[in-house]
Formats: sequence, structure tokens, C-alpha cells
Amino acid sequence: MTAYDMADLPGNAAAKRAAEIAATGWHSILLIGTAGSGKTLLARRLATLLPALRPKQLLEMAEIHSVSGILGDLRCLHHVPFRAPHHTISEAGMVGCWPGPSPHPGEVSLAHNGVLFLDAIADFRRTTLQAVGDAIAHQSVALHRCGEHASFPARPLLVGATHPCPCGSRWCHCTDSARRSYVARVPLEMFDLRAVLDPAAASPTTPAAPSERSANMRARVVAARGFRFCRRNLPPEASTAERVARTIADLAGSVTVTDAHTAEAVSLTTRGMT
Amino acid sequence: MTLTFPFLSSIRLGLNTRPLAIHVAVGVTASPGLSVLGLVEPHGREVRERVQRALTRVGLDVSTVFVEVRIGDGGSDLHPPEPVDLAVALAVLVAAGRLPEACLDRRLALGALDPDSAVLPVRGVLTHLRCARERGLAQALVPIANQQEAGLDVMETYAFAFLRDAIEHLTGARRAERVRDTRRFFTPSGSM
Repeated sequence: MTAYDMADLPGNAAAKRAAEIAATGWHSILLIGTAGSGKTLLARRLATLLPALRPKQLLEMAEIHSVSGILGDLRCLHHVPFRAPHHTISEAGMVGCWPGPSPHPGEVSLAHNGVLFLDAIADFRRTTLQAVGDAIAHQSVALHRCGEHASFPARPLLVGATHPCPCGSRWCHCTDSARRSYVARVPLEMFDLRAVLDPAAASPTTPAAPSERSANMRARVVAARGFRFCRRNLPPEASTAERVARTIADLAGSVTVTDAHTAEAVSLTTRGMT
Repeated sequence: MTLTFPFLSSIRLGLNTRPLAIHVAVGVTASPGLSVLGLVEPHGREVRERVQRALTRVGLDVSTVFVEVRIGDGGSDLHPPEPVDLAVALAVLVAAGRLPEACLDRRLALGALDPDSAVLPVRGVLTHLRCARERGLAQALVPIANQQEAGLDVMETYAFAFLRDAIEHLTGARRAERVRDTRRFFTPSGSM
């Protein structure tokens, strides 16, 4: 298996910072960038920032993989799941179904406790995305058939990726109306954070600046998650920006949320696509 | 004579299971042969065919006696998520007097059977084992292809390649080795 590391990804410090915040607070994140800007590379490496799965989570993952018939070598099971379904996937494939004798878990359950990466999210069917949103909101998928019901857990970290316009080119000539209609298809409401990737940073002609390794970033994520136990929880009615600001403060080891934390959170949650 | 094995098999619903009772009636009537009731067709017919041929391979001809297997506790017919062949075959062997009745107490049997009586793998073994253990069952019999997965659960489990191996284990003629603990593979590293 390929060893992915954030150090392989040049530049894009702001997007990596957003990925670190997403991994810490389990905030869904939308990566915006032109073709070749490194959206998929970053999403693949975001999984390396998540803390190692606990034995109970590993067993749960093994059960889901066994039920779906994809349980392979147990030695590969300690990896955090990463699932990247194609945009043509059906609603049944995404959240699970009960087609024959046995209920099948969908991609959202196969990515439980890991990363569910939806590339070209504007091209997914709206109903499929709504099903994903419902499953993540309830942290499980319930399937019913003939008086029986089955359920699968579903708590993935949602990572979306999209071009800023229909062509996705760095030298875009899309009209304003085409761009607006494309942006309208992106379900921005599903994501807590938005990060814009710079295509120039991923260019082979750009001198590569030294990047931080995943292990260092993961250590900060683990420390920040531990810090959460030392401070008061947010009220349930807290807004997305407030929750993100709290996560940023956790990463900084701060008991209180400062104006700088809030400002960074607001910029990450309200960043536009144009 | 009717025998009931309330926990010998189980039906999986997502990441949970519920016990699936197997009732076996054996006798002499005008219509001999094996019949399997309680499963929707063609599952019932397929289970009957597979079990009958596997039993013939281990020397039990069920075409000359009346053997009626009823799966579940009545109600609507079931869609078995995983094949119940091994459990049905062992229950029939007990009812036919080829195995002692006590040998299936507090045991779970999982696996499909092919015509050569090989025990074929099934999905969701780990879920079945966890739920059976929580239900208080003591032992499980699983296909040999599932033994690595079965080793992730702490339940006492034995794996078999053929039906005759399971019979020899249950009669004590040749005890199988307990499935090894494979939880050592779960060495968290978190790296990809």
C-alpha cells in the first residue's frame, strides 16, 4: 500500500491548515480548486491526520467490511478507511440497501470513522447527497424490509472537492451565468469548512518548499482532541463558525476563544467559490 | 421425534443478529426425503439440495427416511442473509443419531456446504460471533476460510474445511485446533 504523507504535497499551507482543523474537530470540508491543483492529493492525505483507530473501532470496521465481503488481509485493517465513490454512484450504493437476502452497507458506512471523499461533488445526484447528509446527521443508516430492520453505523469525515467553474481550467473562460449555475449545484450547506487550493503550488515548475510531515500534524490533532476534555463543551445551539473557532482554539491550546480564532473560523466557513 | 436447536444458527440484520431456531422431525412415512421449510424459495430448495448431497457424502442417505427441517419460529418465510447449510446438516445428523444430542448445546454453526461437503465461507462471521457470545453461547463452528476473521473475536471457535471434519470434532474422534487469536494484527499505527 502506498504511504501517503502531507510532506509530498507542496505549498497550499492554508488548505493544509484547514485540513488539520477538519481532522481535529471532525468538520466536513470542501476543497475548491482547478484541475490539477491537488484536491485529491490533499483529501487522500487528510486521512493520515486522523488519530489511529481504537481496537473497538477497528473491530467495528472489520465487521462492516466482512458483511460487505471486502474484508481482506487483517494486517491492512489498522489504516483509517478512505472511500472515494464515483459521482455516478446510486443512492443505494452510497447509503446501503437490502437488495436480496442480506442488507449491504453503503459507502457512507464503509467510510465509518474514516474519510468519505466526494470528488466532483457538483455532479452527484442531489438525492444521493441528501441521503449522505441524513446518514451523517444520524450517524447511522437504517434499512427496512418485510418487517425486519437493519442498521449500519455511518460517521465518516466528509470531504468534498469541486472545481470553481464547469471547465475547471486555470485559464477559465466560462461565462458568469455558467459559473453561477455550476456553483448552485455545489451543496455548500453540507460543509463546515471551505479551502481553496492554489494550482501554482502543485505545479512541477514551482520550487518545492519543505512541507510538514503528516506525523507532526497528527500529533497536534491528537493533542487538541485531548485538550477538549479540559474545557467546557459548547452549547448544542452553537453555530458552525463558533464550533470551528472552538476547534481552532483547541489546536492552539487555548481555554478561551479569542478574536483571532473567530476571525480564522469565519474566513474558513464563509469563503466563497468565486 | 422432533428436536429443536434454538441457537444453532442466527440471522444477521446489519451489525446485529437474532437467533434462528432449527427444528428437525425424523420418522417413517409414505413420503420419505428431506424437506426444508421456513425459507423463501428458491433458498429453501437450494439449502435442501446442498445439505442432502453433502450428507450423502458423509454416508447419511436421507432419501429413504422422512426428515423435515423447519427453520425459524413460524411466521413469514425468511430470507437467510447467510447460508444455514452447516447448521441444518448438523441438526439432521443429531436427529438421525449420528451425533450426540448434547454436542450442539450452546453452539453456533455457520457455513454453506457444497456437494462435496466442503464448508464454504460466509459473510459477517465476526458479527455472528460477537452476538452469539453476548447471547451466552460457548462455541462456534465456522468455515476454514473465515478462521482469520473469526480469530478477531474471543469466542471459542473451531474452523473446518469439510463437514466430516466437523463431525469428527463433535464426536471427539479427531479434535480440531481452536482458531488462533488474530487480534495482534490490530496494531494501531494510524499511518497510511
